[in-house]
Amino acid sequence: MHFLLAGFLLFAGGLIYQSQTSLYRIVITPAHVAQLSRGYALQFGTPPDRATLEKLIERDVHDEILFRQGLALQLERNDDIVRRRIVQKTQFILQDLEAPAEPTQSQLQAYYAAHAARYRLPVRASFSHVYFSLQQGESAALARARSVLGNLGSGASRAPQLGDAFTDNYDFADYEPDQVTRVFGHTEFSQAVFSAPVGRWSGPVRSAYGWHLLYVSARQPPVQPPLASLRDRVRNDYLQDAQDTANGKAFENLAEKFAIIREDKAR
Amino acid sequence: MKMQSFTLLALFGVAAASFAWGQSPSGSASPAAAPAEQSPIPAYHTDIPPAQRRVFFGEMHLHTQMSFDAWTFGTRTTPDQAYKFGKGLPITVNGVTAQRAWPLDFMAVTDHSEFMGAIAQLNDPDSEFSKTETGQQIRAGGLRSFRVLAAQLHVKPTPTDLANAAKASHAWDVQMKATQDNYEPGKFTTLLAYEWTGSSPQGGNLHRNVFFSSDKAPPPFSSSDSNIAEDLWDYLDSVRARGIDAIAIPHNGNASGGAMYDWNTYRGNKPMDEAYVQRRAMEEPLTEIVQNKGQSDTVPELSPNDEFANFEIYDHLIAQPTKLSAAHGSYIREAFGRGLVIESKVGANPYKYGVVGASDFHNGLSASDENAFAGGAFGIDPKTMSPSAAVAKHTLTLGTPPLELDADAASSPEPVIPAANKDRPVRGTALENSGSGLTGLWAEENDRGAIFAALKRKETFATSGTRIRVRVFGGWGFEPKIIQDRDWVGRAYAEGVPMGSDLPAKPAEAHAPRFILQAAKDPDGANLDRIQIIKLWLDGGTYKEKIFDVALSGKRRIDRKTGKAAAVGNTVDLKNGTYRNTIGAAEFTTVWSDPEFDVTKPAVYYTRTLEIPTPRWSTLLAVRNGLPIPQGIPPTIQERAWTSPIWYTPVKTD
Repeated sequence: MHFLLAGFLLFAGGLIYQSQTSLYRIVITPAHVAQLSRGYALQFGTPPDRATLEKLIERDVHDEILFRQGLALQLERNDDIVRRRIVQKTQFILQDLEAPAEPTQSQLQAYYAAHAARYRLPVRASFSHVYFSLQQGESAALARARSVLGNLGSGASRAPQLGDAFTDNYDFADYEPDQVTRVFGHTEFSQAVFSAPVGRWSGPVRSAYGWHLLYVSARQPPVQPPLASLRDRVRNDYLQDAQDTANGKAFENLAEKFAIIREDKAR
Repeated sequence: MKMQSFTLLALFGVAAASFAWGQSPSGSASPAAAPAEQSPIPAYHTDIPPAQRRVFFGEMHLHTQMSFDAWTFGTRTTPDQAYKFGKGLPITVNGVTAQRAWPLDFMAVTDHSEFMGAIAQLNDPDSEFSKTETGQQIRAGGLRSFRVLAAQLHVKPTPTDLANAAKASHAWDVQMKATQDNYEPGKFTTLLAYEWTGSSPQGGNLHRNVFFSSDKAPPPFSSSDSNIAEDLWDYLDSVRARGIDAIAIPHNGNASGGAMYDWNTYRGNKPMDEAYVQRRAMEEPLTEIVQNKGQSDTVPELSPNDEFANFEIYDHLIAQPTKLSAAHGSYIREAFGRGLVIESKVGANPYKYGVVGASDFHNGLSASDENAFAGGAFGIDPKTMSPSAAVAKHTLTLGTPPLELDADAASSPEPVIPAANKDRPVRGTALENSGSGLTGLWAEENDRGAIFAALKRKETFATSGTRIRVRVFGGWGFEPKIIQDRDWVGRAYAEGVPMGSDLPAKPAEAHAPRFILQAAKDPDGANLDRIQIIKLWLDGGTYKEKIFDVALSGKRRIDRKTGKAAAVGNTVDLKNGTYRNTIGAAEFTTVWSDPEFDVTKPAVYYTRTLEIPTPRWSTLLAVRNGLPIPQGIPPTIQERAWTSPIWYTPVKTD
């Protein structure tokens, strides 16, 4: 008898559960509607009108029904995307905990000294060139270049009209080696820009496109800029490094709580 | 007994209350209201004249760990690391150092917006996370609550503040921060972007990348908000109304099952009207023509007279190798033609696209050299990340087994080809993926304003991965000798239009449009075979297509009978995976006038520049590992560049 009663009560409880407090009861609160509205406003810059809001709610209810059904079926288990979201969230929280302190001037100086190479400005050159295309063949271009070089006085520092039309510029100001190779390739020409005598014509030198005469007007050796001129960048890098270190430590502290059993390696 | 049921109810109550509610707020299927606050988009201005525009190369499509699929593939590269790799800095990937062979000029990380998290949950007091015990402790702020939180997480507490806690709690914030932190005007431009992953009802790919002119933008509108492109455009409108320019760039039309460049609208599959067409062209000025999952220019089925159309084909739905993607409606060349037809009916052209190229790699490493790819959707540093011989062997023989394979087929020595793939055995295997593409564009400076402006005016081209430099101008008065003028570029801008534009109105005395075409080889790459103009024009109710060779290397001429030029030859050494630049040309500059111009017929002209043959990535991978060169895919490819078109529209005489 008692068992029957218990059974009935359980059954009745189940019904009440289903109709009032259950998984199958979805309550739309004003706060939740406000949140939907705010989310829309963030994307679209304006709150939704009434009809749009009703659609938002409708779709949200649709999603919530599927979401709850999915949870009831325990579909969140072993799901890579769910796992990833949770991993990311935890990571964010973990990282947020460790805001590094502002560096002092001496810490910044020490950091800059330790990473000096990262901030060094490479060698730069300003130059002009005369181009001889390969249209009539390699040796014809070379011969023309040699002959023009003989006629180039010391006066002119640019003379594109004495050669052929080039597919890029004739004059380059303050170019780093990397910028030169992007235009002319990893070629003899690109090396010559940083080794040819300054202030006079030289060549011919070969690029990816043909033969050139070269006039390097100025060249600056690599420069280590003063910290003051790079303060913001160095500070950002310092903080980023400190944050990375702190994040690594925060994870290590957390990982210490866990035992990792490698059954794959057990014999 | 009553007690029992109360307990029961209480338990259920707790259980019900603990269900999360409304994880992320949703946008609308059809946002109706126009934004209340309108602010103008600042116009790009520069004092540098157009003649001084320079070429810049960049990546327009790349995924990092923030994309749900990339994460599943094992990618842990962050957006910040991806940008650093793109600008040529060394980064650490899975314990090895990776560095790009040459730095990009500009780049956009385009993670899938789906599941990226639409809202900063900690910033929103009503978010579900904020209501949790942990969230409330964080929101309560102050050192004490963080100690509580830290204890909960079993980490050593350190002082910090609430603002900092909220700052990085949101995936979109992470994207914006990476975009901001890695921007170096003059040297490296970052573009804030994401991918909207919509699809057709039949499962065809309708994905679009969304790009913003600013390094700050509202939370992304994802395909979870709406799967219909027209709704994405509503979002773009609302972003622009807030003073931030935004465009969408469709990609992988080749895998759209004919849906991408359809005759009809996406919503409702209705015929387009003029307002719709104008809007579409405004929202989507560009489209992606080449990437890791094939090219979307054309296929032999659509362009039977194009002997170079059989190039890096990927003709099925993504991840469904036996579901073929219908050719009609899937390719850009046909879309250029369809655009003319639609314009003749409704008065505007929806497919007035410029073109871009990209990798779409999913490991955060943007690469485009053939030797920086070894299958899959991943860029590599060939110096440190080359796959082992065993992995290479698998890639080159079986590839990724098609989904239809039997469970034990992957381990069988012979690949099992699904019946639908008999004509194309590599379909659905790793072998059909490409070493990917690049975007080239002409801009005054390498900064965000100039790069975005170049994209908007479509002064762009796409390459299959090499740095071919191409520029094209159209006009009416260019005399053939103009290119001997050292300053012809200035005149070309003054008297004509660059690629991506409409021809100016035809002067009465002009007979046919003239084009200046210039192409220079990749400075560290292969010589050029030829430049071609691909012309499509309206003819009756349909369009026609014709290809003209306008510059050929060497002494080749066009055969009068066939209308074609001989192949350039082939210097590839398949044993060593090398080639020699003993054939081909280093550069072309030429002026071309359309010999078949009909003043009454609308036309569109775009160019294709071909390199001489070089070894394909699959050949390089085989050679590096002493393996046989794979069958079923060409051992060499002719890398190429496609430029944005120039359009001719007759003046209406009614």
